[in-house]
Amino acid sequence: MTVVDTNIKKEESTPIINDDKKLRFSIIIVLLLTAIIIGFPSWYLTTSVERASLPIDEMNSLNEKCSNGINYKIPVQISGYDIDINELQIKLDEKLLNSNAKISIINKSNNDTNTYQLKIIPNDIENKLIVSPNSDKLIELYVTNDNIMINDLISRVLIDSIFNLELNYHQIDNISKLIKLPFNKNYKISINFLHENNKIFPNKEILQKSINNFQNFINSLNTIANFTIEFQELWHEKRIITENEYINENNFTVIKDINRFVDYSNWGLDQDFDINPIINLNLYLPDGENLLIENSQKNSFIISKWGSVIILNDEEVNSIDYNKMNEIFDIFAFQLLKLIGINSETDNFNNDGKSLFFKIDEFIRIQTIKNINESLINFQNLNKLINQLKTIPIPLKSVEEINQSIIEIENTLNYLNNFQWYLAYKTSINAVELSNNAFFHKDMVQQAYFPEEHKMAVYSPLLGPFATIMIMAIVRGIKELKAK
Amino acid sequence: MVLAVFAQESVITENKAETQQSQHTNNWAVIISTSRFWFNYRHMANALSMYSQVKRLGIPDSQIILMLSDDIACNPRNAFQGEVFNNADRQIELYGDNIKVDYRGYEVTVENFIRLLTDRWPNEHPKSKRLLTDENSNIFIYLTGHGGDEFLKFQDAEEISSHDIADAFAQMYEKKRYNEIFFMIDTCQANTMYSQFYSPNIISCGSSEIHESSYSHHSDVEIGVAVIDRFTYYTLEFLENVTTTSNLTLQNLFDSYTFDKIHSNVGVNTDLYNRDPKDVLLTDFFANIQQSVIVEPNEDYLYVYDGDEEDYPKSENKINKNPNTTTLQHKESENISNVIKISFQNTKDIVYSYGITVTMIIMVLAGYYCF
Repeated sequence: MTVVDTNIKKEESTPIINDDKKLRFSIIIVLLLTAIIIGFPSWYLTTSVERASLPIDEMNSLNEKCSNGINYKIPVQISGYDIDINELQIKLDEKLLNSNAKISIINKSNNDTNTYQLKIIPNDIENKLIVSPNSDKLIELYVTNDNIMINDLISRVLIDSIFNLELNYHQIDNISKLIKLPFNKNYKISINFLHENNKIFPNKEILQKSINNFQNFINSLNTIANFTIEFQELWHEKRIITENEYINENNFTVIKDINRFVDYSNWGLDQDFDINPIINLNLYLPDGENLLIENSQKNSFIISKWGSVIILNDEEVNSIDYNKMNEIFDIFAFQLLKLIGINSETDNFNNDGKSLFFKIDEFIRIQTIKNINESLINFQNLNKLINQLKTIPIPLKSVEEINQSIIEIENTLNYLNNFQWYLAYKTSINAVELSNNAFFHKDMVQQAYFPEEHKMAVYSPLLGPFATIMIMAIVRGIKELKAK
Repeated sequence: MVLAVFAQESVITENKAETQQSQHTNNWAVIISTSRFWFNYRHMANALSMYSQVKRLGIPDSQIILMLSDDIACNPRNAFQGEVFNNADRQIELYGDNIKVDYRGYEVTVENFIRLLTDRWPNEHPKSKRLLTDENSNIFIYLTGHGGDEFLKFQDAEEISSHDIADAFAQMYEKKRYNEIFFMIDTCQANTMYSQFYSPNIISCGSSEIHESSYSHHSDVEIGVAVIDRFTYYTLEFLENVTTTSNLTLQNLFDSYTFDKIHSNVGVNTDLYNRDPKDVLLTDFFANIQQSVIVEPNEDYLYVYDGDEEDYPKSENKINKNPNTTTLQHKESENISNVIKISFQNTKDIVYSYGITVTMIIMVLAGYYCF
């Protein structure tokens, strides 16, 4: 009979079982540590909303700098008359005390192309003012010898006539604000000849020459924006009969309600493929009726932020010649300038006498200031938005764009101080674009409102089973260790 | 850190003054059916009916954003393939050949709706699918689908809350993306969807109160499902009398809703709206009446004249263009019989193309003589 010594086996097996328990416990600990060290941070980083820090200090500082408006000077050099420059400068400063734009009288001879030249020419007959139509920024002021208050006259000429619109741009009339399209650096001009009854415009050669002339005019506006032109002849259905229209004694149908004249939905004028603003210049050619716009000298009108219409009745179409065609395109040119916001005060007699050069320069300076203001408002809106919506993401790209925009604004201010209007204009456009991009960043659309119960609904099925297993394993491990 | 010094007087004052003075100069419509599947036929019919109304009143397709599951017209269960009707008499076919759906099928999502309102898209997103409104835009927003207490389901997959829409409107307001909004919603518990709005110049109207259903109007036996909801049905009935010259107001529309007709309590919220609905024409939201003014040039000033190019002002970044081709195109569209387009090419491009042509000719000649 064999006696089995079971005590030896028990002594040998105990350490093995203890080792297994230790190993199991170690695995639990390692898994727990992995979950805490790697899992939890990964979960937190991949599920928390990215909210990069905006350069608040820089935004504040820039905002403080511009809080009283953006100041800049317009340099004017006076020649041809012996005047007390200091006295004139004091007079101008007094008159422009509340204006951000100042006029600075340049003492010495200056060949800077951005300096306006005011040439005073003694004259025996009358006082008159001639603004050069060329790019030389020359203003000729004819004064009679009995003009003792020369400084007063010069200050009035500069403030009330030459730079009046620019110095008072905050008071631009409501009609001009209503008409002007939102600013853009690219525009598409769509010239449409609208026919009824499939009538074709008679003389294509004249049309082509006039379009060439118009293109030359458009080229002159390339400083302020890029324009592309498209010309089309469209046939459309009968026009809408507007309210209160009537036939007058000359058999003309008088249109009173111009707001409802164009059928935007059915005339084929609808364009939605070009991201840039479209300016629609329409020549309407009625068939079988003569139309007259009430209270209009040119039978034309402007449609707010959209385009314009000129009506050309049958009689005029049949006798159309080159001069008449140019006249039509001249009205289009005027309407185009109004639609992009150049020369906003037509009621002002003095302003109409200015050359296109002066108007473009004026527009560039005014738009530069507007662009800076818009960028600052964008900063303000973005800041307000992120404070208001705590869960909206702020991508790093937006912060970079804000930083770039701040640099562009600083550059704009420097260029303005150095009278480099065009460069200031360009950098101000960049500043607005960047601040707009920051605000409209495509990643800032996560649902702003994400209630807590939704989080529970999403994460419980994912993390619940793992947490249950881990907790049970830890409890078992602790129990086993205690039992030992 | 709060931007305390951002209370910048000059910029902000000017901004607010402009907003107060501004009037609407253009109209937009956002029309959404958030449901899918055949048994939700009526929701697509609701949306298409509203689409046809705003289009009839002159809002062009480029200013209408239409979001539809678009799974009804060609659904195998549809006895009238390619057609959608909103009435059992089937007198008006809504689908036709002249509708433009901007977002269809699985594009109708909460994310796309929020992106649409806030205009946060990738750069390549097409213009036709964007809500390119500005501070002078009046927007009509119409939603239909299945809703609950402060939420609206999107295609049985997700939901949007009233907070989400309220915050999106707030962002639109900050960026001056609207003048006024008319928010109309036809769902169960619809009135809860505008309860969280806090941005100004929004007037809202919903088909039913909290814990209240919104009902369909009638079914078409041959189609086999309900074809329109009651609230939308009576809205359309009212809108049919509206023309671009009509003087009917929002108050007239609201007064036309009765419990007997709708079978639920229609809600109107004017708390955020600073005009009396009695003074607001329906055409301010449902039509496209763009303000026009007579402003004409001075007789003495010429902009375009028979002069050389040199006579015009020069620009620093001048790229002169001359029209160089004229093509005649015939479009088969109902309204456009012929289109002449003149395209413009940069003179720089012409120089390049001449240069390349000359180089190629020289190379061919050189090759011929050498070998």
